[in-house]
Amino acid sequence: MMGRLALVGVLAALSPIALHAQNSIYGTRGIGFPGRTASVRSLGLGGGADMFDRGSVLNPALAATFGRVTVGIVSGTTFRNFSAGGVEASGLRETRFPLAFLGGGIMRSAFSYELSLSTYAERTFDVQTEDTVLVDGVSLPVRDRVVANGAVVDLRVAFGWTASAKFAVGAAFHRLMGSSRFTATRVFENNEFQPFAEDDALRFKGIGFSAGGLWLPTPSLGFAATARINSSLGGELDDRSTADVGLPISLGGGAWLAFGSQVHFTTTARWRSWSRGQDDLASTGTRAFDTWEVGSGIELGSLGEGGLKYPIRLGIRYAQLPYSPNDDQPTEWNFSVGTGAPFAANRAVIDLALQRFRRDGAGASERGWYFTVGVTITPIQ
Amino acid sequence: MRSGKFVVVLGGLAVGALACEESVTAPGVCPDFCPTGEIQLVDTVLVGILEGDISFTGYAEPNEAVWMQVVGGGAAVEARSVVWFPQFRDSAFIDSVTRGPVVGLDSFRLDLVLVDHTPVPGLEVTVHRMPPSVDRESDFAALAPYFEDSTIIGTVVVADRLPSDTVSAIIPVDAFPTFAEDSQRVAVGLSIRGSQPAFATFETREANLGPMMNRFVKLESSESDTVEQIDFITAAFDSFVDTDPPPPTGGSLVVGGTPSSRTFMKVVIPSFILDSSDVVRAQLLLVPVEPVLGGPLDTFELVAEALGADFGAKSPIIASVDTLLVKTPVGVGTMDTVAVDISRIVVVWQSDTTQVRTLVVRARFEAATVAELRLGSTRIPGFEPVVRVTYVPPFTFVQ
Repeated sequence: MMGRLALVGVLAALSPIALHAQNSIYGTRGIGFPGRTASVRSLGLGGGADMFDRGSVLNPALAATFGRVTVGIVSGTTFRNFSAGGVEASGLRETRFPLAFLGGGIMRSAFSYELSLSTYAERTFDVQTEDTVLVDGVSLPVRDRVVANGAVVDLRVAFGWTASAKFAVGAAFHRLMGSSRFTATRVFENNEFQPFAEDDALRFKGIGFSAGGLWLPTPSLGFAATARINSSLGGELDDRSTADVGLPISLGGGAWLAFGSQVHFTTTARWRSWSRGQDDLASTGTRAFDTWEVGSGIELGSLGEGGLKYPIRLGIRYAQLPYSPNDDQPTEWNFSVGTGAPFAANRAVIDLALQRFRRDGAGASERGWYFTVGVTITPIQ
Repeated sequence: MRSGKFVVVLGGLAVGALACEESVTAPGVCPDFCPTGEIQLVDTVLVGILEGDISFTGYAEPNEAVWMQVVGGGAAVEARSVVWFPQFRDSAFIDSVTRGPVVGLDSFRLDLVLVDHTPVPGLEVTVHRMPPSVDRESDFAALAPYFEDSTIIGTVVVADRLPSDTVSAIIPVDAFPTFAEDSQRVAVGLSIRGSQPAFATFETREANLGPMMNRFVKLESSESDTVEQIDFITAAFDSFVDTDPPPPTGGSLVVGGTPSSRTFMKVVIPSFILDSSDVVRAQLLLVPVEPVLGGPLDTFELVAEALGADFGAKSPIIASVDTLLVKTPVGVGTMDTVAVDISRIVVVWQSDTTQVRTLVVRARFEAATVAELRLGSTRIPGFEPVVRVTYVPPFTFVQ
């Protein structure tokens, strides 16, 4: 009991503020850069296992796979550079904790639960510009900086039911929360003018529901599907409401195929109707597109009994990005590699994944590496 | 295998730790990849925002000022400085410890610390002998007889000297024929003569570097007959007197002069600026109704301060540190609009809504010069003070 309480405490201590995903130049528009709900294992597989790995929080049916109390957390670091409009930036680096979960069975029944915190959209950027403004006919050089730090966080409570050895279903309630702290500053080169600084916190609110199923017709073949609907994303700035932004309906599906016990192929596809927010964002000059994401990967070896100690995971992922300043929808390619290792008498697993990503479109291109570390602990065997 | 596991775990943690250093600041690519929302800047002149304006006189007298001024040569306002020195003692220091009786007096030297002067070639300040018994409250007219040619005892050359330079006049011993009868006290007057209008400003005892009178003496020594030494005293009283300036235009506001005047203004800045915006610059624009009075080519500094309470001439000023005051130089003779920075005052008003919105404008060094600014008021249409505000409206963070 004490162990369970401790794990709940660990999860509760993970402030939503800390749950930010990787940043991007494409994250300055709309509600931000979409977060990934993938476990590190799935990230190593190009997101192909998002529908099947219980460390991922995309498919609520996976809650049914928790028997013993298990807790996990992911840390991710981005190294990136971009070029846009003749501007080159390099050496950008951010570290975030995009995912944490706690799951377990309910009273030895066929029901299980899972609590998770994940990044729904990253709202972190730090943009510096230099300009000249005209005051009373005199040109004044100014240096502006707008900083946002935070994320739309998805708090999920999921319940799963293992209907049979081949079939499980689950449903989840999502509470969208979190905040992004903004700071806008302007410094004048002319010291007659006082520097300007304003900061505020934009708090997010919204809800969502998701449901999913997992079907394993044979020991070497599996299918999964999930759907999610959301309310609009509301905002509160300085105790006043900001305009709501429509959030997408999400549909996803995946397949898993085992070639013996040591080779697994998995794929996940997801469609999201981000264009539901188009009318809400039109006044900001932002174009919202529906998106497709498809990721696939292959795992050589496994962490189970008789498997390799260090499985090799390879993956590839293609994703469309939802927001653009023009009619050109940006896209992203990921190429990933990963592995994992059990420790603490097999009560814990550490997973590592390294992704090379390239994002292009809307007049910009971004390249970088995304390194993630995940730890999953099942303290009571 | 255990070591392999250890390497994986340790490697993951090490890379994670190394990655903890953030570097997220990037140049903006606007407008496409900049956050929605813009820092706007509004510059506006607020007219008709004075609820009241009034001037009061008598805050400082010249004998309390940190400077004293001499103006002459046909300037519109003339001024003469007067300095009284305390009694010289019958003895003086032979060395740093021993005193010896004065047995001979050779000459005097008057030292003054220069603050500023008109850049006139060959400018000299004339030193006059004055009886120490003259009433220190005397005005310009009453002191006029002591500034006749017959009272001249020396000159101080100030031309081509820099501010903070010490300038001197050698005064012969017979310049003070009644030195003994006056109980070894002396007093001097300073004036500028000639046909070219000019001024010179000196520090006073209130500035801690006031006038100093040195005497070159012979002292009786126990080891030899006499030794020559310099003995000095600092001023006991220094001030200046000036001619009455022409009366100000009816209804005008006055800042500076002697005794000093201050102008009070109750300002009403619209709440959408004061309560909801960030003011990055606020200027009080003052329009002279007459050329600024004062020493030819002199400048003086204005400051504006916030009042802690508003109950008339003796309203308390919010304690301010001189180094934090924004000083506005004003040139004598100008009719140009004077822009006094009141940004910090507006910030005080923004941070404390209970603060009275009244400010006072005064000379930074009051009664230190004859300079006087006569300004338009709400009673002189078209010349009333206005406030220019440059502000940033609330930044709109948009999701």
